[in-house]
Amino acid sequence: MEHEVAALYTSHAPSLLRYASTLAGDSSGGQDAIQEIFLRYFVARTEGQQFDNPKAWLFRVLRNHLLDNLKSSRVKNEVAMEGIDDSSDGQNDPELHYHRIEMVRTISSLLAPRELECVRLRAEGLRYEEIAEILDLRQGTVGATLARAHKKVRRAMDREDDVKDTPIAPAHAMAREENSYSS
Amino acid sequence: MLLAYQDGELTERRARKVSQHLDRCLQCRLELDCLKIEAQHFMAAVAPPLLEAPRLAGGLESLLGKVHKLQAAHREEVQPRIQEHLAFQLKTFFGPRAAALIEDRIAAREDGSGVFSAVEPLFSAFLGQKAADLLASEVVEGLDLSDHPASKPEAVQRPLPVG
Repeated sequence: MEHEVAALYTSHAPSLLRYASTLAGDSSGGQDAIQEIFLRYFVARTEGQQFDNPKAWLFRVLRNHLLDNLKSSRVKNEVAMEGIDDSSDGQNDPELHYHRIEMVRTISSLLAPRELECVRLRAEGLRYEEIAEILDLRQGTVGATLARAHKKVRRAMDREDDVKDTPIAPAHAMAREENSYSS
Repeated sequence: MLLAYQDGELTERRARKVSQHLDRCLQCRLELDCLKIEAQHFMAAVAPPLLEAPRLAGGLESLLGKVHKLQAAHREEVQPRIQEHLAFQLKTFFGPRAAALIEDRIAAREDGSGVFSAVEPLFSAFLGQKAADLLASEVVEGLDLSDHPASKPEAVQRPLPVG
């Protein structure tokens, strides 16, 4: 059982921690939360519980645990920026780092909470089916939500495309540039 | 549709149809290329950099330490908590009489198997597999181990200060 927990930790802790940091805005709190949910996993398995998809279970329990902790707090989407700052490895170009933070701030303001949640989980490599399980949604709803989120961001990119030094414009320009090379 | 196609989330049949369409539609191919690059930048922006390996290794070491402590205290301290949570769920879903019968069954097991191993067949027979899994999961989710000696703050690996 111990080996199973260690293997799961090695495979999923990085993305769980990143997800926790964006959700709770504090990587040290995220570390505590991760330890707690892995202990619960250990207890559940010790008591004979079977899991078809441990990864989805860990994400779902982590999310519920963090949201319970955040209930009394007023911080929600805004805290994602602090999480990014805190979990940065410090080796990035400060300018890129700034642009990324600004871009996330803009994306967070554009998207509805449910859309942002789907996007965050998708960014961690979870499949639509897994996201649906974590957020208690239908798989089709996840696909539609992600497509809607993408459209919103694209519209914002289009609006800001002519304005240089806006948070989204650099990435969009880069995407356009890469696209012109590839096609 | 294209986003789901790009994410590999369409059924085989639908993916084949989209693929056939893409073969003859330049506009959709360009749209797909654009979508790929946008999604890449979009996701990279939303997902901050991963923590460095030493910090994660420290986390694993700390976790395994807690697992050992928990293992030692499992039967005396953790199992009663689980049974308490389970009793609450059983009363809610099955009523007090059925709950008492199931609790007797749990208490009567002699092979040292887990609580869920004992009740899982009953849960899935009465509630269906999915609801049974959810119920078992609820019991564990409601289990707050943060106040257990195994989860004492000094055992937690704190991240290094930034800068």
